[in-house]
Amino acid sequence: MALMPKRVKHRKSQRGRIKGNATRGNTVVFGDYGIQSLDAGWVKATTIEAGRIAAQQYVRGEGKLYIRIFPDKSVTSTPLETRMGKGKGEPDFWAAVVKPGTILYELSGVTEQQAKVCFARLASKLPVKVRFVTRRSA
Amino acid sequence: MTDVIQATKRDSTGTAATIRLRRAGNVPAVLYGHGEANEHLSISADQIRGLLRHHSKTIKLTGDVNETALVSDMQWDALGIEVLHLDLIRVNLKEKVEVTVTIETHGEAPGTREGGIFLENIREVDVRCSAGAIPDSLVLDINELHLDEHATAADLQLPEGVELITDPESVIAHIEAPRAEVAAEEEGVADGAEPEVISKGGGEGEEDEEA
Repeated sequence: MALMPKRVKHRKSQRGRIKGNATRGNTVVFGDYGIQSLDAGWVKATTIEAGRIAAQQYVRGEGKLYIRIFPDKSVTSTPLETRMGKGKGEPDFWAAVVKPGTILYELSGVTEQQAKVCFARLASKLPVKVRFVTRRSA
Repeated sequence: MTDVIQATKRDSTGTAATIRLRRAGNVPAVLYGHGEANEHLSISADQIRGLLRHHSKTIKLTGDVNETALVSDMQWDALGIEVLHLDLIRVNLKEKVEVTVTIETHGEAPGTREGGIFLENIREVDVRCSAGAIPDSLVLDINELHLDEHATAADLQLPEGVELITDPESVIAHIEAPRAEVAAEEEGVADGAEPEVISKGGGEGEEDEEA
């Protein structure tokens, strides 16, 4: 089941504009390896879930997967074949706003080769270009 | 390990000058400490890459300055690909310094064969030692780590002259039984459901949300 907030202040949000690079959440913190976004975009809650399933099916109890993004933006849409106007549409899906540099997922407890294969499977599901990153040591 | 790095002095500072410097394949750096004047330096990016490969903490500067320095800070670009700036502190190789050292696990935990997952809680610890004898990494032997057991900072093998600053009780690694897939799925909410909207008139949990 896809992620979504438990409580929100407003049901609908404005679309917004994604400017600049990520200055927070841009380093591998919890795991040994990570997958970093190189584009800006919205990642749907269902996509995050699809990625989680793809990765967990591959590691299958061996490693631990961390999801570093959360879909806290509601995106509305107007139903098909509806005339223009009549106000803002109803919430359609939840999405996470991703900037270049954001770490999307992290993995620990697996080898680098396993992590690369796992993230390659996961990357094919994502709407943004990504790159494989490793933890930066002191 | 001490890397030898060729550094040249630079007179021009500021945003535009450093951008030009980086475009030419160099990295700006600053050397300070020991009550002496700051030196603005330029180091080639290739040498910085070598420094990163070797995980060196102390470096020996040659060229325009002949000093030993400790790498105290490294600034990275937003994607974490290029080093933007280097902070170097003058050190005497015999003086005691406080540094962060990575932990390296050795061996194979029996707990993983018992069906557990080996997880590291802390990857780095703070130590105090002489600048000339900073260890590349500290070794943690995990050959005796069974399921639901943990290793603390006190279990680290410290070389002679290295003193641990991090709390010895802090858990570095543990073996945990894998959680069932169902547990992860419970975090989500059923499709089509909408989250609770915090009412404008001072709803029950409004204060919590704003905190």
